[in-house]
Amino acid sequence: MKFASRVKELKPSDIQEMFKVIAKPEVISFASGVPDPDLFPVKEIDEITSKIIRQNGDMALQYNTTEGYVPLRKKIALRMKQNGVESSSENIIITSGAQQGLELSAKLFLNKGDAVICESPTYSGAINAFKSYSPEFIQITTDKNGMKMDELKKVLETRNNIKMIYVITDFQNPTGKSWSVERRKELIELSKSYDIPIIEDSAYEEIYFTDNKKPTLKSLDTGGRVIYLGSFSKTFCPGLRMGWIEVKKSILKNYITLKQSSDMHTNILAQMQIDKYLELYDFDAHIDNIISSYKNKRDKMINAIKKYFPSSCSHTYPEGGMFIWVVMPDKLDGRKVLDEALKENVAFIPGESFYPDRETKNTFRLNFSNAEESKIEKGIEKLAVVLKRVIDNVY
Amino acid sequence: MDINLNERYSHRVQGMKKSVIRELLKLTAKPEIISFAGGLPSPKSFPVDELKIVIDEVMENEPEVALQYSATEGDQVLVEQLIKYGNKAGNDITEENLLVTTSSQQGLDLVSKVFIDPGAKVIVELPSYVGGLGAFNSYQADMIGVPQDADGMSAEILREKLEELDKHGEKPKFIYIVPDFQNPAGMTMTEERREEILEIAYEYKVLIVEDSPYRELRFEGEDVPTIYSMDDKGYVILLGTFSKIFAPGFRIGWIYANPEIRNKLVVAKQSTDLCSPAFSQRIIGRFMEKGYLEKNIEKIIEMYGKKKDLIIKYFNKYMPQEASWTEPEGGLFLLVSIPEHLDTSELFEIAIENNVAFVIGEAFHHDGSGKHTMRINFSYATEEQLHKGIKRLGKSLKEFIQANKKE
Repeated sequence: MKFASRVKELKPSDIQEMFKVIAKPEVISFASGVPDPDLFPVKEIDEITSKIIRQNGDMALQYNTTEGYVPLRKKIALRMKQNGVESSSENIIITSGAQQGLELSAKLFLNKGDAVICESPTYSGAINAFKSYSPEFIQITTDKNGMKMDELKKVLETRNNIKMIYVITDFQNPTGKSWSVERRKELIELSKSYDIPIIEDSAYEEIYFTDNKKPTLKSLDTGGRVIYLGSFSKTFCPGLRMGWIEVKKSILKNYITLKQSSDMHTNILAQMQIDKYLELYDFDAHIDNIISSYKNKRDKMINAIKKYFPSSCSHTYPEGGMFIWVVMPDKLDGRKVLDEALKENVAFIPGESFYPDRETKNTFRLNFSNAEESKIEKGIEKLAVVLKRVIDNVY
Repeated sequence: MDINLNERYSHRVQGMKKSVIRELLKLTAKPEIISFAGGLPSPKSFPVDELKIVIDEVMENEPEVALQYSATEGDQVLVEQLIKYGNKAGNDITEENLLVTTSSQQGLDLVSKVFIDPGAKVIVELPSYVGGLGAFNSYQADMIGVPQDADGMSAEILREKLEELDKHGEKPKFIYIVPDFQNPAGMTMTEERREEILEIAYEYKVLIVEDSPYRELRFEGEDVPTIYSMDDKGYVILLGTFSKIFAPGFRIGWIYANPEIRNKLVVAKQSTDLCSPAFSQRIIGRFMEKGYLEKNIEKIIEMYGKKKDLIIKYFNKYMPQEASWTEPEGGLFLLVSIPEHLDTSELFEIAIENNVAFVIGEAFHHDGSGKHTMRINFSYATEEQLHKGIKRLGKSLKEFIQANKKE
């Protein structure tokens, strides 16, 4: 039996593997990247679902079109318009989670040996989706304003196999960083000069803790170069696996062809559930709830980190999203630190899986969205003890 | 200036054709057309009342699981139910063999992703399921067709093709078969032929992908064991789905495979969509637990069996003697053949004028053959539509044959 050559590159996701370890109730886990289930609009979904099955069951249970349910696509387009994107339902295809958006984008653009530019570090799910198509990864360093443009420019100037630039500009997974407006504009300019498409993964865009949201790359783009991946997983719930791609029509038709052979179409009941929710309820008020809960947890975690963590570890200060990123002294390995932390019943995700080459070891990701608020301080305190111990041992 | 991407797309996309069915279905959307083209289950087969009960219970008792991410392998409740279900049907499976998929189409995509490098050889039936051909094509497989005879894929020709490849030191990645009530032909492979094909697969060390979306829907004759259940060497990968026995809108299917292959498929799925919707999975799991699925299958079998008898009756009544058709013992489809010099894509135009539609046979042949065949779906149309529609089809075909005689 011989697998396809891409299979060698595919590794089981550390995060999925971790789920098994952290299932024990005594573990305080900052590992998973999942939203807080207490914030799911359960009562509303229950009501909506009964209504749909009763009134429109024939449609909700049948096959549907590959691009998705038109009323939902219209509502998504409208929301995007409110955020400054010239959009219509014909620019939108519904996907089975934003993860499928990544998978289809890779399938659409990447031949073996083509290059993808990404942030360093970047979302591990994107790395895995791209790796299935055997590209070369070019990682660009980021500072507090986003990707470093001089470094990017140099790469764009010297390389001719670049197929796409992948970025998460808002509250990135894993670092929680957000790009400055200036940097976003520079990226758009560069993509124009070099005529390279950008995959904008905006899974966390709406979960912002500041007064204002920054403009998306999509809203700044005038040449149709930005392919925008949206998701309802963080703002509604992940269990329906609902995302979308917003892209110019001539590209969209290729996504439709690819999605057709991937899973034909996305769960239509789920599409109708979200559509009905958007019609009947105040989605923005619901998101505000999520924001205030996560902001509170972020504050608790940051305060605890400041109080307990050794000064040789640095961390990000996310203005939205679900994650904080910690950088330890050079010689430390997140995996080994995790082994020690698990002995103390605390968990996180070691940073190496967020680098395509898995070379950087001295980092880890903390999640605050799904942590129990009352246990955040305790968990960080325990983790700090572990960190001090391992640092003392190594140095 | 707007972006110009035509040369930027991957090779696999440049080689992909728009689905013929999809294009034709657009023409069949007019309300006056009676369509036998789609592969849709009857909406009457959807277990709406039972589903309401289950949804209420799940939302009441376990919403935090149903609305959260699930494990990639599948939701625990559904996995347990699927293991029972599989074993009851004679397939010896454990959790190690099982992966829940976002529809059986995803099963085809994942199997392709895990096995097919550009140019890899894949054996398919002539005719074969168009969604399978599409998935293999999207990974740039080089397909080799093996025709069917009355017992299923020809074992003799399969052996010839494998022998020929072997001479060049080549081995296909797998043999793709829909053995039960095949889409599009409606035929079922005999037990003897299954044994023969499996033996050949062992001999040439080639995997078998057994796509089995219609298997449960047998309305006459005896069950034939799955090829998966006959295999004790881990050569067969079986794809199943809830689309025809529950509801396609949920997009949930499953794969059985040997643990090594199954683990690769899990990893491939992780990068494809992380997991299938927990909501759909938990609901189907609880639905099965209550014994609703068996009842629903019985209901569908009765419904489709009746429709099959009717459509055959109308064929006998309205079709010209030049036409012949398969008589399926289950499933949703049958295949009509007309004289070989005629092309059903030309017939299609006349049929549309007469407000009736089908899918041209060419769509199911990777090599563009089968032009004198067409697929008819009998699950979706009402009994009245079956009558009127076949009458219109018979009329269209007579006109078409007549017109071709004159030339």
